[in-house]
Amino acid sequence: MSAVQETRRATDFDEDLVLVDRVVAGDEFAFQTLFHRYHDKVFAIARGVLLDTEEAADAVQEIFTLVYRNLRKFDKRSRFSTWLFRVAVNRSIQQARKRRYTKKDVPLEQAEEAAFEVEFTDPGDPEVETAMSQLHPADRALLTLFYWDELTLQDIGESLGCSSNAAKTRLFRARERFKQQYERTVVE
Amino acid sequence: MRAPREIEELMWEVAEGGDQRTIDQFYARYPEFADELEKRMQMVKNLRGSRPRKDVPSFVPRQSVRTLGPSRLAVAAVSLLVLASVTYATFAAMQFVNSQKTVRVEQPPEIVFNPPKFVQEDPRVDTSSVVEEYSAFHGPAVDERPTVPDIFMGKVTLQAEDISLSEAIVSIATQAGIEASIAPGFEDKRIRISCVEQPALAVLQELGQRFGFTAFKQGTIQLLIVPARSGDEVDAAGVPVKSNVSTAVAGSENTKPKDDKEPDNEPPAN
Repeated sequence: MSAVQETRRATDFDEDLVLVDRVVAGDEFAFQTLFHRYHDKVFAIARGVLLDTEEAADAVQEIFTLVYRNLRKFDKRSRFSTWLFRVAVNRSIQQARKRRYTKKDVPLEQAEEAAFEVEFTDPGDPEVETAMSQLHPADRALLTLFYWDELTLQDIGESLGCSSNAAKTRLFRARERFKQQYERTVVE
Repeated sequence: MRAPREIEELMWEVAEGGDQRTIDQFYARYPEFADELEKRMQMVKNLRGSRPRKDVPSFVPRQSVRTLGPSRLAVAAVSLLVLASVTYATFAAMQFVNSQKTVRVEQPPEIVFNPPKFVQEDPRVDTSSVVEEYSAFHGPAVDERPTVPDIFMGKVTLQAEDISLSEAIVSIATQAGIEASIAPGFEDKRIRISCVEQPALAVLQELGQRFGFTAFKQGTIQLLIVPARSGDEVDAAGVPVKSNVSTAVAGSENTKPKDDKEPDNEPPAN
């Protein structure tokens, strides 16, 4: 689909763009509307990647702050939600990597215990959480977008900057890795 | 048992769809993967059930956002530092390698090759100026190459009332410097001859016409006298078209030159 058609489609059917225009025009209440509309999904992404509720809540505030500051740079060639999810995924993965590097600084005695372990402040299914913690942040982001935010493969591809076919392949591999870890967790 | 990828994908789709009818169809078609499908269904159910829920707070924009990755300035500074380090290390290594060299290789003497210039001169020489200069002092150029005198054209004089033909030929040839040879079969006879300052060859040729022989030039000074064949015999009294030689058979009355156009001897009337 061409950029022109994409823009037209977004203009016709994405009412988020109206809110974006209002925000750009100086209406802060319009951004609160966007925040309430997408908070759960962005939080799910952050929570699924970071595996920490407080950290995810903090990340959500930072993600929306980034979006708010850079809203004028949004070119409206894609839907606002797609752009928002891409920012959320990238920011969450960056933060997860930084935390992993930070955890390398712990003493050697605690390293084995800390490896791949995350404190779950609000764990759902502990086996799922454990299996998720063994995955790469990018795999966690994929599973989060698909199972928690229930995005289509095309939306996932746009959020990750790849095609829907690539998203499908990556999702299949992420699911298989998750299954492997999940079964291992259940056996243990 | 490991399922093929197509079956694995199908199992994920069936598990995620959750439609009982589709699940039953899968069981019927792939009973060997029933357990695998149930595992996936449970997994998907648990995964979806783990979706975090949180009350939506109010949005309060942060005054500052943490920089998670290295700043661009830091990246540029580090890159510059690395580049400088690599450059210095390369330079130091080169210096070290150069200082470790014990064998000094002298530069070979420079050989300059200057090939001689061969100039192909134009073989044509302009002699016009030389000719003009020569002509100015010596008059027009004359071909001074030695020429071979034609002794056959030497002038001879012979006047005799009664002389043999062979003696006349030898006398004429001797005067001109010709070495005359008379072939066998030559019919000698007594003749009367009178020629003054006539070319030797012309005299001999005329004698040949009158008395039946041919004078052949052999080289530059030799002459061969060959008697005429029987068919070619010329009547001894035959008169040439034009003659400066007055000859006649000795004893006959014919003493007129040939250009008189009168036969020296009338054939005898029968």
